[in-house]
Amino acid sequence: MLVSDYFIWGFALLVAAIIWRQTRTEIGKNRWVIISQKKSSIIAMVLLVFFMGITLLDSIHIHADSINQDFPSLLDLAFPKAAQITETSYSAPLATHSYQAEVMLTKDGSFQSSFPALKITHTQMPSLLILSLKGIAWGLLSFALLFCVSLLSRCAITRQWHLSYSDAWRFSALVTGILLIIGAIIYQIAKHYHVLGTDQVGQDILVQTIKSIRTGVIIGTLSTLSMLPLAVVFGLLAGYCRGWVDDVIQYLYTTLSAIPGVLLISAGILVMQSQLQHHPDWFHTLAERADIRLVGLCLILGLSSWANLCRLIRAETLKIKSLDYIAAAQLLKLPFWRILARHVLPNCLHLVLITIALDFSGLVLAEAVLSYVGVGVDPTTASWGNMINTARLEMAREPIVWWPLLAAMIVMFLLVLSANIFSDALRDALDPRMRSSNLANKEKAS
Amino acid sequence: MTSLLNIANLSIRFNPDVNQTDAVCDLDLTVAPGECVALVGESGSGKTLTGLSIMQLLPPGAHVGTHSNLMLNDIPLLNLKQKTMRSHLGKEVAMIFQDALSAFNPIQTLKKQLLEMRRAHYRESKHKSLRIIKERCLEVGLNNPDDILTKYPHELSGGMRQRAMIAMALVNDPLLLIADEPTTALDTLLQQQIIDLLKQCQEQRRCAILFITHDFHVVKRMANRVAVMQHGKLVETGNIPAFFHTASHPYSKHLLSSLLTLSPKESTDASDCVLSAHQLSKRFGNHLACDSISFNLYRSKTLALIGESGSGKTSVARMVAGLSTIDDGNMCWPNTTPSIQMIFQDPYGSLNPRMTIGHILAETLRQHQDLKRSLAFEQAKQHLLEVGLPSDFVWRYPHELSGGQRQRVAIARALTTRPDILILDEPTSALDVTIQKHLLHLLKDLQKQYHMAYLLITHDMGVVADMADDVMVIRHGQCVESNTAKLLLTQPTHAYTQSLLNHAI
Repeated sequence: MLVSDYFIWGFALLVAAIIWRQTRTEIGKNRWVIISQKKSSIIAMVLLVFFMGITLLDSIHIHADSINQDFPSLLDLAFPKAAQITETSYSAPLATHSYQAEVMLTKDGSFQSSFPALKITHTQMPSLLILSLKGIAWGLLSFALLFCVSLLSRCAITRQWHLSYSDAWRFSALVTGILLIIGAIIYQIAKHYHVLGTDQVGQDILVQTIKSIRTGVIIGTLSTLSMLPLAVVFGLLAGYCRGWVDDVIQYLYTTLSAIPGVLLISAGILVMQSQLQHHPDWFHTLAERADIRLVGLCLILGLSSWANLCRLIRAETLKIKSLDYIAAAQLLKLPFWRILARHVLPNCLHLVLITIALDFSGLVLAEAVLSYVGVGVDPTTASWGNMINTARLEMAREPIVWWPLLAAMIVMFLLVLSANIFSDALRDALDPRMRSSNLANKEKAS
Repeated sequence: MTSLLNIANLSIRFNPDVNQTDAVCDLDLTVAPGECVALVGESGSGKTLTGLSIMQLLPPGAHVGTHSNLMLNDIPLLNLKQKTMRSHLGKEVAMIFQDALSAFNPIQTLKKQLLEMRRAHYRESKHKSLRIIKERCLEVGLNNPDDILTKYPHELSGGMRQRAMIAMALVNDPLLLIADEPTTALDTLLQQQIIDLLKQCQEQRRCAILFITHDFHVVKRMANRVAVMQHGKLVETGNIPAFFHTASHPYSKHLLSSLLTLSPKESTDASDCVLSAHQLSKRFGNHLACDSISFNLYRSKTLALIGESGSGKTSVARMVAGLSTIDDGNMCWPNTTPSIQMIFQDPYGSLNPRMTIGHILAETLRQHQDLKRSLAFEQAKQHLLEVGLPSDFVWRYPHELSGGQRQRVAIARALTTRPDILILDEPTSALDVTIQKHLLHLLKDLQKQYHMAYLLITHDMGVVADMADDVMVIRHGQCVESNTAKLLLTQPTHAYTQSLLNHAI
């Protein structure tokens, strides 16, 4: 297991614990009702669970072979063999022959320019239609299995043996089914084709894109989580205490935001890199080293980007501080930290959620920019940043190689969009003012 | 006499697909030319919606029923096309809003806004429009129109802004003015001035007024006829002043009985002093908000501080509560340090919107008594019952409660610490009359039960008469007059107190 593996699993368990706690109370259950009222947020939620599932699978590393520096995760083992065949160079999605013409010696001894067949290509290639049908069948089968298992476990937990499910439940099952079928089709095709083609060194783009999900999720979550405590604590203190505390904190973040972000981050990463280079004995494998570099990058990104949220929270705290319920809390002699935690912070929560959602996407993009500058994640780590970075040469070449960029963009788009939609729904659910209208509508409907 | 405005079968409902009661239900009302009709009711009775529906300013989601009819001078307003409708509204009918500050555009001068109003309806030279605007300003008592018209809304005082809005409504010589609580946000003295002004408009211009209000004192002075609304229905109409004696509907009687009179309460006997303040002063920059105020607070007795807004009475309250520092003077207590709690004016801002009522109460209970969570919730329920709220309110959020209910929760929260002194900062000024009466009653009961000293901040003489044992009148941060309530209300010595009392009746 790597350092980031522990983090990702810890994060997932934390989220699961929070969700479990929410379902225990009436108010918490109502929050779920609000989230599941919009179809868009259900789709976003299912997508996020899929992304998180892939990340979690990719975060169980088995120490198989330290001599070969091979450090596969569970996800790597799940890829079909064919997807791990490395071609010589570029090949288009679903191609059977190379994208580049090579000069070859023909049987009659003359040289001829032609497109060589790929290593993956066999004489008996099954047609895409048959593979798709096979995929649909497998998808339906696995969906049915999942459906039964989840239904049974639900019945076992609630001890109610009659089948009843809400609209939201049905819709999320539908979305899950569609995703499973799409996944199964892709899996079946990937057994015989490079679904999204290969890159310059002949590696399968689909595998890279999926492996990049883990990197993206780690950067998005770890950076945000390392930024949150700083921004929230400093913002609340500055807004609530005023005086010299406010001056010091304002001075800090004004100074921080006066330095161009990329410069600050690259300086931090360069320091970290030189440290890593001087201590090669710290790590047994290259994968561990690349992983530490990733975690370091996240922390540096987080520590250098808290100023914005801090400023927002400070302003909101100033506003809230003048309200009567804070005066009432002071008169009731509630302790200082309690006023901040129970009365000020929950009323700033909408800002925190919006900023997290925006920063999440911003940080995934920042990783691409940093890779462009050359200080991003380790070149051996699969990441959208690395893919986009190499794509800039591919876009300029003739004939154009478009698939690595497109693949990275689509998956990144899905992750960022679903994170945004979900955080929107979450913000509504946490606002008690949304509750009454929803409850009223429900009562009227029944 | 033919009617100017004829409302027939007016129904307004929100979201017609959901089975819900109408916000306004089959309302019939006529307004004759030059007549002032007061539309009275508590908040939520549909009186404002009725006014807005005439101006076609209903909020999104509100729909007028198909059988409804609104006739202005025999023109059916509801069936007109947008363009023709606009040529009537703003010209023949004009509206005065409650909050002048938010009714004006903050980034345009008054001149621009008044000119726009005139020139939307008349094609004439700018010079002529300007002359008419200045005439209207003079008419409403804005005596230096050249100067005032160049100002922005925030540069005027509250009373001036209200006058400017009336001038704007009068720009096109309307036949009907709809005034939606035009005096509610104002002090007693300003209130009087605005009412006089509207009265003068009505008499001199023969302009009809539909006066929407919840204040019967205003109705008495202003209206020719009154229409009482309850739950969207018109329950009774009557002529003024006969209505005050002949009202027959139980709801009208209930409203009238909720009115506070100015007869002072019988003073209770002397009791021990819990706090005495000497020469309290508060400065904001160069402005002396509060200058050498001295008073004593006695157990089971109420001291009322009265004065207009900006007179410094809230500064005194915040100093006593310890929410702001005392610049000069001191406070001492003969016995033990008293615990002080405060009830705030705005019931919407005094409860944390993210916490349930139960959590709000349990939090302070656990803070002061080291209770277990479940036990604190049980006690919270007891405290809710004590202030007359059902105990299942512990699971509600503040926004699910009405203003009066929230104020009760605020009282319950203050009582959790069993305070010696309770500061009431305009506790009922945001509430309806009937609720006000109940709340004052509750406060008096609690005072008897727990022997608290009350420091009451208000500008409403009715509340003073109902609650206070002693009264102190404050003006420009200084004490004008101080006496027992009985003496001060019956024999005021200072001219300012006399004018306050005169306008209150």
